[in-house]
Amino acid sequence: MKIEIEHPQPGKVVVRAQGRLDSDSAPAFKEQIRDVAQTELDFVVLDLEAVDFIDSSGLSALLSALKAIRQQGGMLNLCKLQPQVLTALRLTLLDRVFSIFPSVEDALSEADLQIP
Amino acid sequence: MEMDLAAVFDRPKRLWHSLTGGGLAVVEGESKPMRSVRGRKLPVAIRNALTEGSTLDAHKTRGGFWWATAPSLGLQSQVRLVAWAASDDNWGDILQVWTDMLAFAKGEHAVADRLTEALVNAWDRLTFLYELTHIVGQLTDLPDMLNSIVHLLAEVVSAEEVFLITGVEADWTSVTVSGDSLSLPPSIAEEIFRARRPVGLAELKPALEKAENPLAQAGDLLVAPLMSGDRPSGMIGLLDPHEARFDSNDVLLLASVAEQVGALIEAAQARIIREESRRLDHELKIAAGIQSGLLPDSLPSIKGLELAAYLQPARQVGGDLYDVAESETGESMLLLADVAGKGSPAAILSTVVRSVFRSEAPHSSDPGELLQGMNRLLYPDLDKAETFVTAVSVNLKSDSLGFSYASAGHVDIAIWRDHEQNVEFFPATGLPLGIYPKTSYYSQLLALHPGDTLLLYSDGATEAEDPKGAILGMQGLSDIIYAVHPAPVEEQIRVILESLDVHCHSQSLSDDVTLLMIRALPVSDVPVETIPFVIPTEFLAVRKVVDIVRGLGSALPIPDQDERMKLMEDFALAISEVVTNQIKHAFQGRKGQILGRVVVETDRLVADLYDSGLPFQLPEIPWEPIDINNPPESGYGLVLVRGLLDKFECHRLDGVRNHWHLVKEFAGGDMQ
Repeated sequence: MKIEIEHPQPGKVVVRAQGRLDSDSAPAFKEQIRDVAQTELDFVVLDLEAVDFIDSSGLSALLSALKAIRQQGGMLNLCKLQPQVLTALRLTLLDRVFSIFPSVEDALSEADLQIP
Repeated sequence: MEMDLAAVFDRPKRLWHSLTGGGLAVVEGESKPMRSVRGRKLPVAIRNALTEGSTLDAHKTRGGFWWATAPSLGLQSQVRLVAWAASDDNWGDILQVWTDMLAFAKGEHAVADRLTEALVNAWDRLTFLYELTHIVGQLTDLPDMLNSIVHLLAEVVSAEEVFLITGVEADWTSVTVSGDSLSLPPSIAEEIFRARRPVGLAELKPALEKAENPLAQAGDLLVAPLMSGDRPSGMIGLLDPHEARFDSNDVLLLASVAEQVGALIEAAQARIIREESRRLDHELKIAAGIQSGLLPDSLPSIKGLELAAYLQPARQVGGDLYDVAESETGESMLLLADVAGKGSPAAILSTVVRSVFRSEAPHSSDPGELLQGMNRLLYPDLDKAETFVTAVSVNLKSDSLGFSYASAGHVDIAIWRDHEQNVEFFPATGLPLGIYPKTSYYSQLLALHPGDTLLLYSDGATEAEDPKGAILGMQGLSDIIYAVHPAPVEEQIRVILESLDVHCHSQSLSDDVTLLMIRALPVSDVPVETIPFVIPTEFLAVRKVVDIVRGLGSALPIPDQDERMKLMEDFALAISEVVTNQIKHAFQGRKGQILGRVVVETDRLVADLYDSGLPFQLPEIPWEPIDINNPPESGYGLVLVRGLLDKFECHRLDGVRNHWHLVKEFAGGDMQ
């Protein structure tokens, strides 16, 4: 699993993940997102366009990322989900836990609304 | 008389540069502290060595190697060399010799008028060492090199004869400038080897006289031992009719030459060994090609049967073989044999076994009779070679699934019984070939039923060891067949080999593995595609199973592409969850393997997975909806599996294995 980090606007981070988010890659992904949460306290958008497979370990990693970012007072939005990823989220009802957006721009503008 | 050392060193400087790619400078006393050699700043260690007058070994710096030689002790001269080279090829030793000679020339003769002559002499010798290094570097034919060395040495020393004696033990050969052969008694050779330095006539004279060796009458003699590592490999010497011809300068030179020639002989010997091993390797590659070419090009094509075979030698060549021949009565005689032992010796005998099989098989349609005849013919050769052969033979008929087998001490043959869903093993029916001149073998009648598979194999398959020494065994082989039996035999063989690889943790096999499979095709009109697989219990390997399902593609009888994609992705996720669960819970970090198959039927996808891990109890508790504000971080695996599949079960088989059964139904469609 590869991730790229971009800062499109002050206080906002776009994390682009690439590859399979499964039992093999989830532990390292968790660590990487925790590092992001430690340094970027505002809004994190996770772009999953290039993630074509997620399993329950991947879902756990997403939840762990959500909690870590929330604990730091931040917010995590997901965007550009592949059908396989959406299926996994829906079956586990986690689509109600995560805010899911069709594009990075939508996910970022949602972040603006949340800023007090 | 003042000597301009810098000018004198002009030629060696150029030699040194072409030799080492580095630079060289001379320092006399402390009057001219060197700042640089070829424009380089001197490393601190070298500056210190120059001040303190200590000797340095090769001193590694970022740019290469540096040396500063100490002034020769016991001489008044303070001549030192500072040098730099790109690599350390014992240049330090050469430098030391150069300084010694230079110091000697300067110290001994500085007050005399013959200084220039001494220096010229020294430079001739430097050139000699340079030439010598070149000869060593080129490493062509050893005798040629030794010949050039004695002639080269003769040019720079005032000796009538220069000789080089090389060889092993007492088997010496000599190379001389005169072309005469020259020998030294072993006792004298030993004395020289013991000395490990150049030895003069005075020391050797008593022994030479005692041995009545003509060298005792020589005017002067100087011999140095040649060492290859710690072993003496010869001697190099100077001989002259004039008394006291050789001085300490010659001792120094001969010591240095001996050291280089010793290294040269060592390198040449290593090269001979390397070339020999390269040649053997090349021959083995050719032999391996010949041996695999001796395997049958094709297996008999018999209605209702499917055959496949594979032979994987542990080394380039081996003692396993399989072959097929037609009997006079039109039956196909199959043979799988394993010559005891490994590598080339076993491979040679395996070709003999093949020839005997080919000559005997046409005359016998009974496997027992065939083995009996083969034993009679092979016994004398096997007895001489003090080895034996295990072999199993089977006759296949074109009109029935009945067959008979006979086995000469071979490992049990295996039959997958589809109706009973188990593997039956059948033992040897006589002793291995080559034990007794006359042995009889009985043939056992058996029959396959549709869906059954007969497996002939060599013990390399069942005795393959994991790194802790645990063998796969007949149980391990049964487990594989159990998991893969509905697949085409070629696929089954592929998985058996992969499973062996996983079992051995990808270390190379220690014995040849031969597999010969015969499957009675099931009577069924239902088109079914079976993909068997095996993976090690590692998370990364789960992706292989996901890829198998994703690769089903057009094998799925669903016309709509989106629907097909969705089905594949759903099933891939479900199977991935189950396999991950097996790795986590059944193995808990231990190394093992998971066997399984994915089966595409007309209206459903089925996967069966097998592991020999800890028992697993599927939780009965119905799943509670999650708290959206505080979702648990784990436990989604089973939720997914149950949500994605129509059927999901886990059974314990024979109390030792888990069987996971996954079913996903779909609306079957006609691909056409």
